[in-house]
Amino acid sequence: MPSPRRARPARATAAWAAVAVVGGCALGPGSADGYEARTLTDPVDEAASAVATGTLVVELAVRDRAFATVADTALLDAIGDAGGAQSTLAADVPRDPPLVAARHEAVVAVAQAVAALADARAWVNRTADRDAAEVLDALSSAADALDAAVARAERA
Amino acid sequence: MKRLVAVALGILTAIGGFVDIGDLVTNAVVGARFGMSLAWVVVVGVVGICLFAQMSGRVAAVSGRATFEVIRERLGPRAGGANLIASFAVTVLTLTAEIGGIALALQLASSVEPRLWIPFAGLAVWLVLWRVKFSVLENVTGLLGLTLVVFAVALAQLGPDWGALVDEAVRPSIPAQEPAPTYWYYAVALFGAAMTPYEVFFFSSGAREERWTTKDLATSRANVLVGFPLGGVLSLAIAGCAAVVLLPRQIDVTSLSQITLPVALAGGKLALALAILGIVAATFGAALETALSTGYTLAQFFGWSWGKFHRPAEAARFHTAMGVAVLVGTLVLLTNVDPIAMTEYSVVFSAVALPLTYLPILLVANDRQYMGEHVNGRFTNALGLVYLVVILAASLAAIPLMIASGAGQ
Amino acid sequence: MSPRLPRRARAELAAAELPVPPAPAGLVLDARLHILDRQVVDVDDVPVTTLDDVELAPVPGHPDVVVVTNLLRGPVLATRMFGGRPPRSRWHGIPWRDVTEVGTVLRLGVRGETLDVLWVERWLRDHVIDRIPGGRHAPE
Repeated sequence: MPSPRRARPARATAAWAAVAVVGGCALGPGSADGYEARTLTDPVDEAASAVATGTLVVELAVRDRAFATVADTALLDAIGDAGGAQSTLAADVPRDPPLVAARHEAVVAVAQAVAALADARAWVNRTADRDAAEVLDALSSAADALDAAVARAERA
Repeated sequence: MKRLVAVALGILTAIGGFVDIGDLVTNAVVGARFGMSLAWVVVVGVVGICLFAQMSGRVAAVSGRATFEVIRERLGPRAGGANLIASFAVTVLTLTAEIGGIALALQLASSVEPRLWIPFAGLAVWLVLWRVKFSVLENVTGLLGLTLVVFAVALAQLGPDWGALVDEAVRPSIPAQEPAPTYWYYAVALFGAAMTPYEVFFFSSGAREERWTTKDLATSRANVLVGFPLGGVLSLAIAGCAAVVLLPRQIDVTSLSQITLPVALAGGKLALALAILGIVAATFGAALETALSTGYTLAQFFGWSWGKFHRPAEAARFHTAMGVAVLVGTLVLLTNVDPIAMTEYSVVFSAVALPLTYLPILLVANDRQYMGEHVNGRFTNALGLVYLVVILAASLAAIPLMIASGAGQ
Repeated sequence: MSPRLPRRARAELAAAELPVPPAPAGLVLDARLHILDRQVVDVDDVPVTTLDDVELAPVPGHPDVVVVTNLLRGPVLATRMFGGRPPRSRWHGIPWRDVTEVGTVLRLGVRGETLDVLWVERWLRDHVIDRIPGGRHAPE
């Protein structure tokens, strides 16, 4: 009987392929374990990366090693990243009280980062009333606040 | 003397044309996250693309047939049709990413929003495809793309700890804080970025465009075996710059602007200007190549008349198809998708589609009816079989790894 | 009870039952290997199409003999993958008598302009490409 014999290996292959694809869901960071802590630390890490980018850009601009257009674009991208992190955090609803407090601290820290980056961009475009040192200080304290928020989330 | 100039031009064009937005973004992302511990993937990918580009160029020069013409004949209609759909889809995805890359690079130069640059980029790509000769198109973008060598110069000027970099590259290990599926996901992505399918279609069809014969085999071999590895060195330099400047600051690469920051740090405004020029040239050249490849795959599968050596009126379906592809890419970008995200997906799906393109080339390069005495030697075949296994493994693992790592989260 | 024969028995069976192929004077072609899915070019080496199918017809007077009457091209991409055939009205034919050479490509003795198969190319050329400036000039 040719038909079931031909269909059996094809069906078996399809079944194995489906298992392989779905099996990927069980492994690695995409899986459902460790959900709560990572949903807090991932956006904060993103915001920290954006702040570090902003700091590097301001340092380059101070030393006149970058064009204003590049600095402006880089800071705009960093603001986009930090803003996205802020939205993700604000939309998150953790259940445990320690995580709720950690999330609040994270949102505040990311908001501080967004403000510092926006001021940095204004400084690059020469429309700010701050000077380079103040901008760098704001970025640095935002970075510290973000580190504290990550530490708090990991303790919770 | 004239031969030497031609060979040199070919090599320089191959180096400058090697890097596209996929290489640029993926190498920078990997360098900023994993340092040089994925450098071995670039080496593996470069050897692979050298092998297959050389084979497909030889097939085109000796048999006078380009890749997709032979795919249909060799694989039969059903597999050939599936191959066409998959390759065409991946190439259009890559084309979209490249046009997005042009817009992002122009934003770096001008601070004008990318969405405003996208229609201009699409129109410019189409105009060049419409009016400019093939050899001019390839040579100009290739030579301008050579300015990306500023990344290698910047890396040297940053004065990194070469011993540590080389050690990390030669003895790769998964960093402690990164899960294994993410490491392997980026390995597959980097592999797909180095061994892009469109490169093979373009190389073999380009051989037909420039009317290569068996006499040009030596030039083609030189272009590939010297040009592509040096292009790979450029990719490694981009990764190295990210590893030296961005990794210690824990900056994750999410935009094109971050990729240029190490160059600014090392060489100031001049180096930055060269880097931006190089990125515009490389992405523009790659957009031209992918658009041409969409035309080549369709035209060669369905038997249309194709080629830039014809007037557009003599290859109407070919030019219409390319115009539609560029238009579709432009429209997709105007919906505000993130070009960097598009790039990351395009390299992973390139890895998935790789076996479809490479298997037929291996088959045809061994066929005496097409190749006569120029069939593959034993070494080439052995290496080709090894690579086929690697390519199949990467292709099968790509989607599960993408799911397992959350697309590189 | 397994219907599969042991390997040695299979080989003997194959050798005993395979028909001997005809060996006439002239070129013997396998339609699937040498004709289907091949590129068709016209007398000026301009590509015409790839071959999707071949039309056979019985010779009047000799009911056992079929000859090739037309080379066919149709919208087969979807039907090849999912099954079925496009209706007869959707196929374009190139008469077999126009074929001059069967090699790695099939060469025709007529110019592509006269063939129905190229109507899309002509339509696009007349209505799209010609309308865009620069379409008729060689690239520079």
